[in-house]
Amino acid sequence: MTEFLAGSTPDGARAELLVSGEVDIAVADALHDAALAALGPDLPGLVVDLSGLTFLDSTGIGALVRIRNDVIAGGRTLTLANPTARIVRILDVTGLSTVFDIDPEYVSSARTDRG
Amino acid sequence: MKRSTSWRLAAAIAVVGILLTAISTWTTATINHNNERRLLQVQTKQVAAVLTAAILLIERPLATALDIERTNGGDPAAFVGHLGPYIGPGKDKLFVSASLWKRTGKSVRRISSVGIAPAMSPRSAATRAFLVHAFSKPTYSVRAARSAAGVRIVYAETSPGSDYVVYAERAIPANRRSPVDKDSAFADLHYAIYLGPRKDDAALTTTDVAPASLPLSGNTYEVAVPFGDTALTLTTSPSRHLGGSFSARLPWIILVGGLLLTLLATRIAQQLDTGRRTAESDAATITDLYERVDALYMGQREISARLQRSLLPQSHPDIPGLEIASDYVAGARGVEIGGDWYSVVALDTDRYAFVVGDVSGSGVDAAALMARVRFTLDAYLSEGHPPEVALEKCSHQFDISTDGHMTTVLVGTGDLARGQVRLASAGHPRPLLLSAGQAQFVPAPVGPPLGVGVNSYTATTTDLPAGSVLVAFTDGLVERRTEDIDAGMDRLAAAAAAAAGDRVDEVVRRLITAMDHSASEDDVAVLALGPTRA
Repeated sequence: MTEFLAGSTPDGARAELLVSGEVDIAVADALHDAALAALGPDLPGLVVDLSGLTFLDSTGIGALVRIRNDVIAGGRTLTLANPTARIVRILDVTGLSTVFDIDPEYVSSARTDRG
Repeated sequence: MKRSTSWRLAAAIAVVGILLTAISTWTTATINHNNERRLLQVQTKQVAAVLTAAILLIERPLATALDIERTNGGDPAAFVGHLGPYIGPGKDKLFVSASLWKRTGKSVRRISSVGIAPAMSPRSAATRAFLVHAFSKPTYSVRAARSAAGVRIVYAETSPGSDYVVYAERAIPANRRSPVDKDSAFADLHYAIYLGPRKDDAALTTTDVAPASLPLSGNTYEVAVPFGDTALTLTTSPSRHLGGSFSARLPWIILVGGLLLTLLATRIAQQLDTGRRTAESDAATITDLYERVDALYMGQREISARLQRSLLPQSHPDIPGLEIASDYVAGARGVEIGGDWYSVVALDTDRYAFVVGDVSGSGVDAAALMARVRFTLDAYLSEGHPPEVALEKCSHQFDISTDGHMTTVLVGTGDLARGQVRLASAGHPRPLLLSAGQAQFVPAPVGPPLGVGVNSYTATTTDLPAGSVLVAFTDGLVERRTEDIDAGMDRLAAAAAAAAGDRVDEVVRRLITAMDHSASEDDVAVLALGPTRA
């Protein structure tokens, strides 16, 4: 089951989206919409925490790319946080690890809240 | 047919219900009727007992008067003294007239009288005959006699061995009406009392109803009450239901209730049957819809398959010195058309270009995007651009935000004279190089997929000597939801090593077999090419 949990960083400077489960063609558009909704109109940046992401297919990758392009087009920033080794590998083989800003040691407030 | 079955069922229920109702109603009515008869009998017998007591009370003074005269030997004064208090016109008086007679031989003579003139003339032969007749009876004799004032009951009291006879007349109301007290135990009865066994107007003595309405009809009961040498005939009928109003209404309640229940049961049976037939009809409709959807689905599937086939090259260009093999396997995804493709372009006698690509997602728009990318790339490659340049030029023309999909693609150009290939990748899996019994992924640099918005690509050149085979594929061949992509890559490399040295078409067949794609949703495209062996 796929879950999107929206929040913001502890200092309130950036929006956060915690993604868990599998992201494939069935939920790719939902991920895109959830991310833009989490970001909202005002905050300067979005962190998408991928620590709970277990599967990502090409349409899911496409959704992440669309999120990045939309965020950057608005002059804001996107960070992919804590991808698992499997997700890192997928980003490597698709030539996208240099396209995304990746923070492997991000401490998510949403994860802290959930204990 | 079904409809008539339904009506037959409802009719059967109605018939059974009406039958049961009729039987119950009839049984209850019969029990009720028998109960009424029994109650009428009991009450009538009680009335008869009261009547018997009344007869005794009325007759007692006459018997006493007779005893007195037998003792005193025909004393008129004693007769009047004893009976006088009972005689008079008032309602509390038992008789209106009385007289004492003595028998001498075969004639009778009046000794004394009290009260008004009798209805039966003392001088008439009929009177004397009646009195003489009385002596022949073991008990007193009774007659009815008409007078101007109405009917009177005439008594002739004598006893065996006596020569005296006491004559008395008792008046009964002119209209012969005597209502029953409302508080009486017999308030629920109508009655008529006749003197003698005949129940006609002349014999009627008392009743509580209009004499003209007699005889009593309906449920009646009759008792003979001994009265002197004759009897009173008491007939009764209930003035209201003796068993109470509920038992009177019970048969009607059962009848109406039973009919209502029958109606209800019939209605329910019909509704259940209608519901069943609706359900059957719905099931048929649903089955029909499923069949139509299934047919549409099959049609759509066939269209997708034909579109897919038409978008892939029907055959590869004939390039002397180059062996080419390819295969395309649709995923277990249903009607959605995939976006995988391969393409080989001949550039000149020694040079060629090839492409293996994969548009993310599926559907008609993915297939359309695939066609655009394919023909765009083929065009740039045909113009002679190297792979990285073709990709860069192409990347300006696609945008995931407007296209909805991104595209991974491996582009290569080969030179048969030099035995080399130049490779550039836009997010696409690296190809395998099979040679000399081993298989290795070519370490080509991987740039981002087309449509991401990054426009810079680099290329690498690798040797492709005679006898070696380069295998390019789409990620459907190696990607499994349940394992890391490297696990799939390793399995593919192992299968490829086993196939190294085989002809290109055999390599493709063995790899597809080894990578068992049957459970995957994704499409698979595989392209293998290698210089013809010397």
